[in-house]
Amino acid sequence: MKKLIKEPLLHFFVLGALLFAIYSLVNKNTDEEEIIIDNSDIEHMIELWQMQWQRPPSEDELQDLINKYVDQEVMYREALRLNLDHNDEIVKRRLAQKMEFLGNDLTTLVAPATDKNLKAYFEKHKENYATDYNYTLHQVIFTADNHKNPVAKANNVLDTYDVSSSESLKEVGDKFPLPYTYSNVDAFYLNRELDENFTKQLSSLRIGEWSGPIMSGFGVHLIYIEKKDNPRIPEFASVKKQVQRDYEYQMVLDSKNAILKELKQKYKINIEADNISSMLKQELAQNASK
Amino acid sequence: MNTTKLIPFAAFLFLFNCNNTKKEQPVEESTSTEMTAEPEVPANPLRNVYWGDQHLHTAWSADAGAVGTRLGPEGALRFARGEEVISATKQKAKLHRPLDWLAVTDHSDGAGVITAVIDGDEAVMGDPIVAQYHEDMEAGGDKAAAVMMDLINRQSNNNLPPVFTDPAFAKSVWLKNIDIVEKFNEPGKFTAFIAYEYSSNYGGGNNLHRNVIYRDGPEIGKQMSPMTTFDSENPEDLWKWMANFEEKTGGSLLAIPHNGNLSNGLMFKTTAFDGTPLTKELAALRNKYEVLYEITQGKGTSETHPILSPNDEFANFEIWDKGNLVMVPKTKDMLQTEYGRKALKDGLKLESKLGINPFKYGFVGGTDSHTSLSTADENNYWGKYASSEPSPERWSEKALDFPSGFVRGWQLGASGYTGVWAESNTRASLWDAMKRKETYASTGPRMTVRFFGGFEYTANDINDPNYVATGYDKGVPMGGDITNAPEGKAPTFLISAVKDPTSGNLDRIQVIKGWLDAKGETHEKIFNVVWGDADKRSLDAKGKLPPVGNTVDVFTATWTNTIGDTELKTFWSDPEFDPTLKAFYYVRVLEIPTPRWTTFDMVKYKIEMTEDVPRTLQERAYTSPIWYNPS
Repeated sequence: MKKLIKEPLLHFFVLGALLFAIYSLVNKNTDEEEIIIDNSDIEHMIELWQMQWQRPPSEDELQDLINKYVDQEVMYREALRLNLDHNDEIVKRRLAQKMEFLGNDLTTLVAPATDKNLKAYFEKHKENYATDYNYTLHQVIFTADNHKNPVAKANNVLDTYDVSSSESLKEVGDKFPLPYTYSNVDAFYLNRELDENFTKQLSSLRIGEWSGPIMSGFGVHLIYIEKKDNPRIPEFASVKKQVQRDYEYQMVLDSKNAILKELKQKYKINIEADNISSMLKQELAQNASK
Repeated sequence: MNTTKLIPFAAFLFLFNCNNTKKEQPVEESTSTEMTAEPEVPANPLRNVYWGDQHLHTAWSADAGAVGTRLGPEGALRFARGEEVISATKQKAKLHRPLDWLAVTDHSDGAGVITAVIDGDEAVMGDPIVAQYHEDMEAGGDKAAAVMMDLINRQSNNNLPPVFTDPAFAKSVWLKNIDIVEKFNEPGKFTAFIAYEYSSNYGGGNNLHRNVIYRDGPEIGKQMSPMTTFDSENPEDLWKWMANFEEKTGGSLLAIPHNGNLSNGLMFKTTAFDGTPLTKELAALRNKYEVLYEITQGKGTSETHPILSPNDEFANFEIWDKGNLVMVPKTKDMLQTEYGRKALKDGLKLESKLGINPFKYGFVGGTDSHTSLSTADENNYWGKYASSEPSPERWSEKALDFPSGFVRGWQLGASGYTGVWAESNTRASLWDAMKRKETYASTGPRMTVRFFGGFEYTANDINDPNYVATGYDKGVPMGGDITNAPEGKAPTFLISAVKDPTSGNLDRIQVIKGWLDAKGETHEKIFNVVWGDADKRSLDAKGKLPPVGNTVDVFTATWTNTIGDTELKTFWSDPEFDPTLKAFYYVRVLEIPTPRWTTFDMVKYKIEMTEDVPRTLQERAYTSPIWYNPS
């Protein structure tokens, strides 16, 4: 018997019988339901098809579309009749999301990304658009593949060669697939190539001479910094696209909260549950009124 | 809204700006006719590797939104670019290193819903109600907020000003998605692809999903809605849709299938979808549109299976073989037609029959995360669903749970990025590289892997610091074809790998060869071609290499790079070459063992895990193959 209770097929039959019973109770009206397919339904189907194929559906394809539409409509209506949409987490989330979409679109209407709005936003958040440190530098590397103690090797090289000449170490480092010279590269690029731990160490180095050693995940580097530009605030025009992106994002976030707050005012939220701690209950009550 | 207070000041700037633009207009017009569609971006003819994810879901995928993901495509793109975002579980999430490109692939199903939404088009502003809105906005404060509420109320009561309900202003989710993607696409800096996922679960959870990646921008992408599985669950119809799209729009598309391991034998079936013999036409469609296969991702790695490759000691890597996507149990024979390596072999077989190879796949990785967070780093892994974002419980919770079976959270893999060898970081350049299969998959680390094949290389070439130029000059890169073997010559290869500077050293490089013999049977063989700690390790008589060792301390989730090498490179020539037989060669690069994400969780949350959870793993990269075709 225990085995039977666990049998999924049995569950299926029991559930099926139950569904049928509920269905018969709810559906006392024996009149046939009507599913009407009118001109506008056909037009809508054809329109959707055309958006996907850029041509009208053939006779067969249209028939298939209508069949699918009817099948779906039957299941949909029966589901509604059984209130299957109620308390369905997926249905709820989808509808809530649609509400959010709507809010987003309204935002672009009431807070459009006009030049004046964007410039005002830029003025207020200038520091977000500052350029990176920018370098022109030379590097040589010593890796553990080739040296027992790469740090000692690097220090030895520093002691041996003329550190004031940018060319003096050109042939001294290991053969390794990193460039000898990085021209006008910003910290963003160096982070990507060598990791930010490497880039951070650059700030401690002297300019105009070989110095180090500093470490990357590849090995031990000696660096000759030829030029280092500090961050600066760019012209608005050169970052306009980025400003617009940020502005629109911020407006959506702001309005999302505003909309929710406004809509919440239509509801009185009562936490009636008494199987949660009183502290949690208090906190929830406070949040509900926000 | 805060900004409304700034309007007077901004208005001044706006007027000032208007004067300027007017003066400059003639100049702009004359230059714009000369400009190409994309601004000048520096190009490297020897190509750079660009890292990205061609497979990511956001809250806009019904199954992601339904399980609690809150971030949409915008959040996904910001995160991929390296910005900090707030995850579904209200945690701050940030990548250690930004990605270079991303394809947001929300499911096309449901993404085509027409919602009555409103564009910010200036034509709308002619409506008197809208004009009133604008006045109220100018006033700012409560009045501005009231505008929003009024619009919402009108919308819900079906009482919007008529201009808003004009179909011209109705925008599908697909078009909204493209607009967002476009905002983040910055040629030379970050590429955001227009993309979607065609999610066929034919027959109940048999994963036949494809990511469809667009080469072009909105002007092409917006012309047609995506293909959905409501229209057809048969992937052959997707290829036909793609062909029709290209013909109608002049654009270009490619499709990337994934998770053959969850298709219960359907992904690489050697017949047509309906079971009839495969035709040359269908094989040609697949060959044209499916140039890449996603070989590793969060729901398991689909390179090969220990049953298919009993002689491959590294075959048992992040394997999911219990069932399909809804855990309908898998039988042994299904394994034959769902893994990448086997498909490459069967492709040779089908090619000899049909004259065209339907399984001519290069390799890519993808996360398939449904959290908007593309993460493949073991020490910064944000899970597959909102429920598997970092928490002390996520390892033991059920990640997939169906009546016929379940998968535990710990079985998810922090895996799936793609390296693309392209001239520059633009849609066109990256897409073209994907199309010619100059790509490789990684289980996470961003190691730099080069692979060239031809008949003219010499052992000395690899020692030349400019060997990449030689690689391109005298042969083909990964993804290419070689033919016309000169009398008595075997194919030669130049192969190199440099470690990810933030990850483990390299253990070894292997070449995996598959071929079709004269009797029509397929074979595979693995060659260890170069390895770390070569002073201490050598091949045995069977070509096997001793393990590299393991420095992982599981109690601190750390390791040392005292074993393995920083860089491995070699010249290799096939010692068993038969010029009359079809063959393919691809490269697998293995790292030394490092802690798995679950081990980082053990340390972070001070928890114990059961013995079946692996503590370490050997991360790896898989290059696209180079095919040899007898002339």
